[in-house]
Amino acid sequence: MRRFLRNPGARVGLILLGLVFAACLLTWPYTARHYDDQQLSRHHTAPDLARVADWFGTDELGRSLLVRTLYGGCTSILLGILAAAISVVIGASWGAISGFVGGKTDAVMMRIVDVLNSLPYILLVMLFTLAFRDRLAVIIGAEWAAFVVLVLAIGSVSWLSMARVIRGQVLSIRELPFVEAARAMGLPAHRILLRHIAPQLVGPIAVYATLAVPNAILQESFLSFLGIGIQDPQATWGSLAADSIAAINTVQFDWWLVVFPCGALAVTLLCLNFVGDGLRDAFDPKSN
Amino acid sequence: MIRFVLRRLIQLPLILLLVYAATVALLMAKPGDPIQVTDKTTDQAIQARLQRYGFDTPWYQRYFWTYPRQLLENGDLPSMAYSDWTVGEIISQSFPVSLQLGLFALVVALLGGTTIGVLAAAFRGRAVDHLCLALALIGVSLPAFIIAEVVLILFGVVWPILPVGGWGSPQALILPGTTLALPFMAYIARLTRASMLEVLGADYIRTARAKGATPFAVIFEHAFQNAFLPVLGFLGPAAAGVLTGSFVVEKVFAIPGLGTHFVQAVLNGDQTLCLGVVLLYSFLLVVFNLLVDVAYAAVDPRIRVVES
Repeated sequence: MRRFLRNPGARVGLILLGLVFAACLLTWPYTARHYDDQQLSRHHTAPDLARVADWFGTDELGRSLLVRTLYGGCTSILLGILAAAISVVIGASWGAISGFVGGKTDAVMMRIVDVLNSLPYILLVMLFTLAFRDRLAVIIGAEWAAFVVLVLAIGSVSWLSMARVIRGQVLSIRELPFVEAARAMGLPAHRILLRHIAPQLVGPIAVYATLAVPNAILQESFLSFLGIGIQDPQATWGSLAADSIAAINTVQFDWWLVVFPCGALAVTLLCLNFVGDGLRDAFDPKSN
Repeated sequence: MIRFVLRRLIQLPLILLLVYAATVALLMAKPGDPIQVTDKTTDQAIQARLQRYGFDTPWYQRYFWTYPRQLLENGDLPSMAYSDWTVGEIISQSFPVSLQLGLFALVVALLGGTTIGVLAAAFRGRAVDHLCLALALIGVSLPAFIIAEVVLILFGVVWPILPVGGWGSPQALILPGTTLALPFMAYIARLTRASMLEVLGADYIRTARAKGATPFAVIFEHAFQNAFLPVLGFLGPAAAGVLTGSFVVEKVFAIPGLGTHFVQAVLNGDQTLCLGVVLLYSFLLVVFNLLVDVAYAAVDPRIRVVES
């Protein structure tokens, strides 16, 4: 932890990240109710420091961009964390079991990972999202359906690299004497995995989980940008960025519609990557 | 080596079949009417559409008998959303565009990334290194569409020296291709730098320096070939990434490529076009990965020994 904090980039990243998270989460009770407040007479107004709601300007329906950016932040961040959690759980279990059992099972499991890696996975993910979003919407409502389906879809994309990394770690831990001792004592396999090997994996898992969150947010913004993710009037940073493309023209360039959502997204992703890199360097015994 | 290639080639149709089955399952899971009947459609038109797209037969017959048979007989399937076009025609018009874009992006990413990585490793710890690392981090973190929008603003509104949209002239390729390449260029730069630093610490490099080789010779004649291996291994996932990234770039820069058609097909429920594009992309990716693996084994003799 101390080595992590010595890294200046990681320190700055953590602080900025904390600020962004706090801003989005603390304002959520308000933004969740007002993200769709339209004031058609005040559409396309530039940022104005006089009113708080106008700090980021308004969009084409007169909705406050500040409120929508904060609300979109909540959605994006929550989506990212949940999807990363899913991919960590699936990937770590797959990799750990594959690495520990070894032999033919390992070969088969890793072959599956290789095949899935070489597929245009994202195409199937898009189809998956559209297939189940409307079905789920009948049960739990349109907004939550889109959210849940996106979390599942994105989580199922990113578990592959985590599986490979964890398998590598387990393969090297498996040869250590204490595992041999546990096996000699007659402990069943699942106990060895859970109580003895898993604690050693916390380091790599933490690093890759932190790097999986910006990846998930990236995937989500990609899907929302293409129109397959979260729909209007819900907002995520990706969908806000997609809507802002229409604002880029030489006649009346509403710069605030582009700058603020993209800026928030960029800052968050950069900070998450800084923090993840810092964690990785802190855990790496080879770096000084 | 031959056995390795043959084994992978035999797996290719199996993988394609798997992908086909998965796509069929997902397409069928989507609720909604694929024939798109309105109350103005006559019974004759409905019958004609059902017959044309094979929807008068049960699903297992349609996807695993009718469509393959149509493919073998006509070499083509009718598109469900654009009734005048067949899937083959749409693909043959838009795929070359996407292919050019993708190949350009890969080449730019490879060349630019390795150059930046080698520079950063050669001048380790100095200003050049920090600059390259910062650029690489930004390129890796930012989503493609943010970079695309920034490029759009920069070259569309502020400083219009290159075309930001459309297709046709070679200049139109530059901006979208570079934008598509940037995230991969950044990742390759980081990979090359890390790999070069590892190789530069090896004993044989020390020997070369002790023998009086110039720094240039050390880097390019001795170190780079070995440092390049991880980058070669990354080309497979990079190709897949370029493919998905092209969806965004094609949308932002208004390029008539296959990505746009696929996204529209997914949103429109055009099942035959979806199937065609997914099969094409899967085939391409598997073949590309095979080529990369063969190249890897050809370049690194250690892999060949392990395989046999």
